[in-house]
Amino acid sequence: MLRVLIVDDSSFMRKRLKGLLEDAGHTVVGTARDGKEGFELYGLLRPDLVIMDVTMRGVDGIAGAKMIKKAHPDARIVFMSLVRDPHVIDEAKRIGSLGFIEKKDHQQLFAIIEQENVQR
Amino acid sequence: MARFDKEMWQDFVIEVQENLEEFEPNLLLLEQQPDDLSILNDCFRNMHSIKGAANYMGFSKMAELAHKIENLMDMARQGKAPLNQAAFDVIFKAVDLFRNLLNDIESNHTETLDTSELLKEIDSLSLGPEKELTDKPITTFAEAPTDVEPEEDQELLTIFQEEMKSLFNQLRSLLGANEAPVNTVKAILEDMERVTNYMGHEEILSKIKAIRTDFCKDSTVVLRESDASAMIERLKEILGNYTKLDSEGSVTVSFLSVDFEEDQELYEIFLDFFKEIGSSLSHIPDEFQQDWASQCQEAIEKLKTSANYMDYMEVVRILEEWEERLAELLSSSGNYAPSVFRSLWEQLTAVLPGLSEMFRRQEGQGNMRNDKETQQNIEADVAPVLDPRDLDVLDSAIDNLIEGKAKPADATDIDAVFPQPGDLLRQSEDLQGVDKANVFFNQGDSVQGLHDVVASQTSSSSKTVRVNLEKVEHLLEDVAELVVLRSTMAQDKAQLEALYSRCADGRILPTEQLRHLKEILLGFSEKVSALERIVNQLQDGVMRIRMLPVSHLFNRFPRMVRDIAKKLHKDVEFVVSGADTALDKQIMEQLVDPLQHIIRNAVDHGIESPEERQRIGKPSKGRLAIAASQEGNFVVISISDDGKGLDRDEIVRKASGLGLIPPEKIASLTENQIYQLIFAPGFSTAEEVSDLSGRGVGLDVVKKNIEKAGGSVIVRSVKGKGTTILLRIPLTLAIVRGLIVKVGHQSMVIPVSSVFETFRISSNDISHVEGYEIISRRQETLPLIRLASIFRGTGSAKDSKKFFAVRVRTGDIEACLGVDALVGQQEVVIKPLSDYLMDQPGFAGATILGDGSIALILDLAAVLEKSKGFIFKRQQILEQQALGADINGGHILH
Repeated sequence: MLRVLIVDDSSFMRKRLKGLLEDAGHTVVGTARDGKEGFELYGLLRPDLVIMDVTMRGVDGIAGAKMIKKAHPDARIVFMSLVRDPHVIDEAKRIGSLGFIEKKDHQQLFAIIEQENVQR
Repeated sequence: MARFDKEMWQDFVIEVQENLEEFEPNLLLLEQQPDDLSILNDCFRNMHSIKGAANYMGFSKMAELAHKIENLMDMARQGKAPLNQAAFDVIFKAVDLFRNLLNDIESNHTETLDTSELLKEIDSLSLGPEKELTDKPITTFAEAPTDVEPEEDQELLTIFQEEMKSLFNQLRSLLGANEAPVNTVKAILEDMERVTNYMGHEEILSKIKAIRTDFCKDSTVVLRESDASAMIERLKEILGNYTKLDSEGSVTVSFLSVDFEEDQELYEIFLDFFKEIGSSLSHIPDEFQQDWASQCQEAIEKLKTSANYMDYMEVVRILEEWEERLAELLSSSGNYAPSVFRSLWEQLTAVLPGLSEMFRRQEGQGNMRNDKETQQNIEADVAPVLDPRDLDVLDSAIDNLIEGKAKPADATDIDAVFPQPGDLLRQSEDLQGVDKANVFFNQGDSVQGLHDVVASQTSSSSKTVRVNLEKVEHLLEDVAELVVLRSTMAQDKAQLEALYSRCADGRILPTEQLRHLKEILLGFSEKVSALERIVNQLQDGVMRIRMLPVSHLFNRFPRMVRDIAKKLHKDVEFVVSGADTALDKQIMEQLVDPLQHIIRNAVDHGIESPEERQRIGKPSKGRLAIAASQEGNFVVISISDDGKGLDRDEIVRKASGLGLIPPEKIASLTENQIYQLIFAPGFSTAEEVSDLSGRGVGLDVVKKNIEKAGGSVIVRSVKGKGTTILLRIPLTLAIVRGLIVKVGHQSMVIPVSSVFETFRISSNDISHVEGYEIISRRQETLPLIRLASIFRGTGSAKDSKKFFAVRVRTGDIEACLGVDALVGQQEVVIKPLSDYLMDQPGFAGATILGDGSIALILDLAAVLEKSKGFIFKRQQILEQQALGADINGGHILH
């Protein structure tokens, strides 16, 4: 079971994801509202996985993921976003994220989580 | 699948509401300044969040609508299709539709409304082709988009800027070292070209290419220092201030300074961190101390990690040297020389502006040594708070840090950023008699202030909790019970004290027991007092929870004013102030309609058309201001316009035409009394009835509602200059100070705020006019309303000879209420009556008194309606008297 950090500026999405993950037996160790807060919490909490939104007020998800990756190159980050812009998706890939999945695509999220679990 | 529970519905509704509440005022701002990118971005994000939430819940209509608006915003922020008036109109309509959809969803849990009309309208906006978010062509390096418009998507731009800056910094640090290998330089430049090409910035691309060909010739292997700095200069020029030409004109984009704010913030954090753990580094002892060395080592290890992360290579270098010296000392127990470490510390303070101030602030006037040098270079430019000019200096200081090239000479610039004591001391030399130490500490304060701001910004957002109003209501009910209990105990205490004095006086108990009783009584009294105090605080606290800033109420008005003004072709500037004044939520809800009425009237009847305004020499844009402030236990809301003002003569003419005032009284009416006439039922000064302001049925309702909430209305107006309407509203509804009276066996509560005076009367004081009882009081004739005759079943004699009168006033109506006894004043908690009881006008609610009995709270407005007949009668008499008729009861007139 994974320790997860959720970064999303919408309290609605944070709650939903938290509920979803906790129902599946994972621990949500923290939630953050933007990339910077996510970065700060990452340092404190060292989660196994970060679920990162892209469009956020303040520091966006791409920049946040970059900050995390720079300080903690082994961080595991997966983007969940409605953004479909290939530039952004490319960028996300370049950063070294595990994937870029749609907000509602829980199946794929759990597939990634499963993979992470196996690797551990 | 996720849990579809009640909480989720609630979260969803709140999420959409909150986003709409942010979106609408921003949209209003955007309409004024359509080019403001940051507002556009906020609007975009709001729609994006709504889309996300709606999508999640499966509300496809709402999601689609949000998606379309998001697209409009996206195209606008890319400069492809600026929002025009038609677009704003449609988006405002969409906001309304969102609200309706939300209500729809809240009540039906599904979307039943039709959105297709508006979707069509959005599509037909002809703002250019709709951007498909799903399959936009990928712009890759290979395709080199030479004629494609630059993708100025803010997100991308930021990434681009970030990358450029990092490349630039790489290059700079590379060139800082002697003899930079051309191949590496070339590779970095090519990277820059790739990034630039990716973004489609033609001009920059060609310039960077030119630099590459100029400097990186095949024949050279190593770049000379002079070439290197020339190259840096050229790059700086290109990237530092790139002016992009587009359809809107020119936009200046700087690719080097974007990260700065973030950098600065990180720098502050680093300094704070340094301050927290690095004090051992600033305290260099004269004799070697083992403790100090280990503290230093510990601090250095942590600081090195941070500095490394921040790319402050110079700091890392100094720290490493420090570490080495310490290691030398510890291993070979070599000679300890404080000067070595002091010089290292000075190096640190030179590369970290603000560091030494921080420690000096901690230590008072300690370590002033290293300012002597810098003082000489300082230009007397004292900035108590960082100003933008100084930020450039700090920027370069930070750049220097990152480069690892900080030179001692830079300290001059650095010191200009954080005002040094030296500046202030030098200034103070001119100001005779200024205490130097004092000035010094003030300087420290300003630095402190800066950090406070940073700290408060980061913490403020996480300190609110969203609570269901129902829970607060429950809490309030419990507190109300407690308040009742408190009064009961106060009464118990009084009874006990009476009992004790009887015992003491009558010597009923032996002295021993009497003393014991006295002790118990004293203890009890103390506890009752303590309880009272705590309950008071608790009550106050809970009331405050119910209070919200009036912005919740005011937020809806900018949009309303915009719509009305647009419809009437008027130009109105709407100004809101005091929006953070707190007011009870329930009262706020009751104010919605009255305020809407007043604002509507102000725009419709008050503010003139732009042409008219210009003709009479006013600015063509009218001004409507709404302001809130607290005055004691009341909140005053003022609505003022700079329109034509109320026409006194017109009001008088209309009012006498309608028979609202007797002609002879006109001369003696005060300004306010005349203006109050506009609140009379059936009054309207508008020559033509418009569909916006209605036909004058509005204002009397406004006044009634406000008085119902325990408030009052004041009107001030100057003809031709404008009108101000002041609403005075009690802070909270749930608890009132009441005068408790008895009518027969029934206790009743009269709100103290309406009570003018109380006095004893006998039947001799009462006269009868046309079936009404009247009394004279202070040269005024007042109707007497015996509560016993209005409310039956109280067991009170209807024609008592001696009783009490309570003179009350709400609004303009004044009367005396006849009651059997006055009990006292008390704070009472209003509990609403059941619906079937509310049908009976006369009571505003009930409350439980200290002794546990129930008292009814009078609705004075309703009770005084009873005396309206009298007022009307009095007017008739006046009229007849004016005609010379001799009528009985004429003596009531004064």
